[in-house]
Amino acid sequence: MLNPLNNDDMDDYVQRLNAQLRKMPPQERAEELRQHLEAQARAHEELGATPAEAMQAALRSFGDPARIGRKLYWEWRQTRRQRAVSSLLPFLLGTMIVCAVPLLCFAWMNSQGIGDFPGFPRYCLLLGFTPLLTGTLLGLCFPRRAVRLMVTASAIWIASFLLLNAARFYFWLGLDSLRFYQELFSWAFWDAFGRLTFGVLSAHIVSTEKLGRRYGLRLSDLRLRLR
Amino acid sequence: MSSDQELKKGSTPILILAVLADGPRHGYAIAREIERRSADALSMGEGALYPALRALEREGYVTSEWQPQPSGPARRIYTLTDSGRARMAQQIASWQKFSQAVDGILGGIPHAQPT
Repeated sequence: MLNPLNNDDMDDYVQRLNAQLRKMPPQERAEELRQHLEAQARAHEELGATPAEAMQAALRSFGDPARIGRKLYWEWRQTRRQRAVSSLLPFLLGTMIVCAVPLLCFAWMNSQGIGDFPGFPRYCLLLGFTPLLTGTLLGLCFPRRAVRLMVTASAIWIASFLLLNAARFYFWLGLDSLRFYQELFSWAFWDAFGRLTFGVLSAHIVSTEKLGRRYGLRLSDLRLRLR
Repeated sequence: MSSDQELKKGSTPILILAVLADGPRHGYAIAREIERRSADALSMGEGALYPALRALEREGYVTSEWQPQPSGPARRIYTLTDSGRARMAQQIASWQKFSQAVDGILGGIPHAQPT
């Protein structure tokens, strides 16, 4: 029967290691290394070392915990960034397609003389792209709170839209030349709302498990601040 | 990256991939297998093993999974992927090329005789 391991030394070691891994999810922290240390210490004991000597030998062979922790954290961060970018790309691509389709439709209608919409590129790109991208990003940043997020995001969008309308910004954009100018407020509002909701939902459906639980992507990671 | 730079960078990844080519293993078993196969000539820096495994996982050469054990806590088991197997073959070819080149040079030098 082997003697109990000298757990104080190991706890101290693992604690110093985990100090570098605070931002990582619990399952990614030092549990695996703790198991390795225990197995190695037991192997030393089987060769005749005392528990204290066995643990010291195991800790020595592992090296500086702060250095290992920094390396592990760096690798985890790289992995997370890589995966987050690869997850964002389909959304960005989808967003661009959703903006490109109405853009092409307006352009085609203009060329065929079906209508005259001189302000359409700015409309499609700014009023179309912005809420869709905003919704997608918010959905990605808060993957576990989709419903609450949708309400919050919608409220933010409505408030900002009303504010911008109050500044009569659509005159500045030149949207007054659109045929549906009379209904611009309600039309654009519901269009923006729909795009925002679509963005939040699509991000939520695809990313809940992947981004929320595995990579822990947060708003702060994207260097955005939501007040 | 040239084969020279790759070799200078360290042989840890190729050793890990070679060990995993025989089947899935946990970290401790990987370290012990490297020692065993090299007859204790190569000793894996235990602490360096895990960042190397994470890097290999990020590159897609290995995958890992926490598997429950019949006795004791779950262990993280690493498995070589197809892309890891291809990478290993590539690295082995680079290593052999390098090794043959060095042998070609060192082979012509007479061994020093102990006095």
